Amino acid sequence: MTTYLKKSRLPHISVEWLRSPWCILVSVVLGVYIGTSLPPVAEAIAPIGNLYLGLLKMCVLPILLSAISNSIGRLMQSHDAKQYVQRILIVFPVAMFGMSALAAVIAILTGPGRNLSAATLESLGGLVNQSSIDLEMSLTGPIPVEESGTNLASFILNMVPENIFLALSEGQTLKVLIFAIVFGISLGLIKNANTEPLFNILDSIYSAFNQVIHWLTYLLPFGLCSLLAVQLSRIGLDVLFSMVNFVVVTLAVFAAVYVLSTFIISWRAQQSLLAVLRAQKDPTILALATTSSLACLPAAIASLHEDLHFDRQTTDLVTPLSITLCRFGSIIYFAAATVFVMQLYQKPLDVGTLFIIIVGSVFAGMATSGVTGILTLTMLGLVLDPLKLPLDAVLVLFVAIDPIINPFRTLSIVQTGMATTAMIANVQTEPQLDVAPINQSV
Amino acid sequence: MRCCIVYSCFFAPQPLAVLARLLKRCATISVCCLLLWGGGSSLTTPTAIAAQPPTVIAQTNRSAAASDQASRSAAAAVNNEQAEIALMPPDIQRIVDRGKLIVAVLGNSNAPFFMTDETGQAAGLDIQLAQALADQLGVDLELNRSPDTFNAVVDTVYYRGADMAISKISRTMKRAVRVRFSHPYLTMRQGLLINRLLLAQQTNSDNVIETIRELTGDVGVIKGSSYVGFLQQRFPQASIVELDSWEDIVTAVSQGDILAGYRDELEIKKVVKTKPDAALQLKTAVLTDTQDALAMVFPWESAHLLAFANQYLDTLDAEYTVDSILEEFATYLNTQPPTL
Repeated sequence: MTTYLKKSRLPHISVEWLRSPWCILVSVVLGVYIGTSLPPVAEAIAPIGNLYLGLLKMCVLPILLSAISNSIGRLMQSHDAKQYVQRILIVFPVAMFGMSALAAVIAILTGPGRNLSAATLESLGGLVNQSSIDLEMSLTGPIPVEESGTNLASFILNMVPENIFLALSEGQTLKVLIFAIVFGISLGLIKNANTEPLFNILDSIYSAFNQVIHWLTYLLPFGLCSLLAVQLSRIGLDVLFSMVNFVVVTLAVFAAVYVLSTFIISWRAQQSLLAVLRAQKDPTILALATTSSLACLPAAIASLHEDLHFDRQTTDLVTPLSITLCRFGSIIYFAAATVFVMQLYQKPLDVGTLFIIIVGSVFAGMATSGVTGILTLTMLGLVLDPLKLPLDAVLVLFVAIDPIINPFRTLSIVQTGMATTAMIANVQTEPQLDVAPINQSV
Repeated sequence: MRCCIVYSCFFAPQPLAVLARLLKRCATISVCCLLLWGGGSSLTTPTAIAAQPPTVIAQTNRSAAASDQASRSAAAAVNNEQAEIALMPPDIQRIVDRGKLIVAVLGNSNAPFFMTDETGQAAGLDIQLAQALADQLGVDLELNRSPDTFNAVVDTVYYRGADMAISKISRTMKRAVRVRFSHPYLTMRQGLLINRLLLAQQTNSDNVIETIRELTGDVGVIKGSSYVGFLQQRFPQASIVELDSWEDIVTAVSQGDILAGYRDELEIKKVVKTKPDAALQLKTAVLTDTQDALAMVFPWESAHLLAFANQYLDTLDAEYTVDSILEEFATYLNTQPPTL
């Protein structure tokens, strides 16, 4: 049984059943049924899901800001900073390049874009060609400026917020993250007792919003049902058939990464696989239902800290960093997608191009942390450009299958982020008493 | 009359009364003349009225000029048969005498302009237009399918191998030196079919529009078509590759042998519709500030036939557009392989 906070301050009305796994299962089944059989109903109940998602996202920025500032500030005071920064600097890149390479190798071995049948190619072409002409242009006159979202230099430049309040009000997570890190470091380095009240305030903010998140778990069954129904009703099955090879390979890679992450967490937490799976139930369900990795952030922190007993300070710091910055799901997806495009266009693969795919996917994946929606997929251009592969045709294909891929990509972002945190954080020594008896039975 | 009298009594009796009397006399005389002359001419050419209305008009004018001399009407009746021949425009007369209109059309199929239907009959937009003109002239239609390039179609008209040509011929200045063009019956824009992979490898600029404007590399056009000239004019940096058929060009672009194919937007859209599997390889672009106007071709001296065709085009109910034509002949596009 997952709990965010041990002592609920909610008045004693018997709503505890809303949090039982059975209730969640019922809501999932109902959501799947409505989504697949009754699309109009799915559209009708969509506001419930959006309301739930909105409430969840409301809590994310305050938690992100307070958790990172607080934990990094305390880290600076505790003189452990050097050790943790070293770990982060080693674990993050190794994990990102490792995931990228793993996805690329699996995609190369399985070859989802090789030897496609004529019928498949035809239906893919039909997808690409929904508007009969790709480009209407004039030969004279000024050249219209293109909306370019795929520039690595501009991405790095945009990481620093000129105005933190603008970044906060526009919900630009990456900028808030950078600000929180700078603020936390400076706060921690001020050797002055005056900083203590501020740390306490940040702590209060963090606890308050965690309380909200806790309350929201009572609404999870309703939100889950609505969100699942809407998602499923928007998936076109005809698209799935023509892209089936790629979808299967990608989902297999995501599944492999999920299993690998679970093993890593289990090993680091020194707990049984079953206990780990139970602990990560909430972030997993939320990731699949909301397709927003940020919305899962509080649940992921709670899961790591409260259920798996990782050191709170490190968890508070590293989990937001790895989920917002490392974007493992996107990295894995881009590596697999690039290999797919190369096979589709029958480009030969050698060590040099493999290197470009692995490195490019890492940068493209990280670049998605600053953007949302379709722009996420256009970051694929960061990998395809150096390989001299065209993006515009295949982008349509990836956009078409994204309703299927997106939940699992989000899950992969959250799950691998948690595993990375587990690699860096240590298990707290004292709360061994808290371990539920059920964990020892397996 | 009473009005006239009242007026004349009231104002100035003498001069107005004289004027009125003069007018009345003139009117009476002219009415008599008209009656006389009308009856006379209808007596002289009863057969001509039924068969050849234009000839009648010509003759009545002549008669009016010589209306004062009644004796000339007999002579006009004698010369009637010869006058009819000389008065018809010679280009129309030649067709009417022959009993058929000969229209030059390219030998190959080019749906939806000219192709063969299930029964083996010629069909398509150009064939429809030719048939309509023949019907309006009251003659049969004969197609001359010997030309094998678009320039050869123009040459066929130039050397009088046909009365005219309707064969998806683009109006160009170079051709207009030797032949006459009707008003355009379909105005299209020009388009490009570009290999996506090769375009991505062009390193001129990050901007795709800028890259296309300064297109370098091999661009395919149909041998002996107007696009050879268009290409030199619009994309001077591109190297011209002349291929025999549009089919060859589409295949070459798909396989990456050449960078792009250059033709009108209708053919570009046709490729998209008939070869959906090629969309991964092929990028389509339409050049909004270019024009490709299709017109009928006439020998330089066929001024009247040209005017006749123009008038027919002006009276057409709806104007043709690329999309309306693609829709109207959609079945031909789907059932036929995209030849040429």
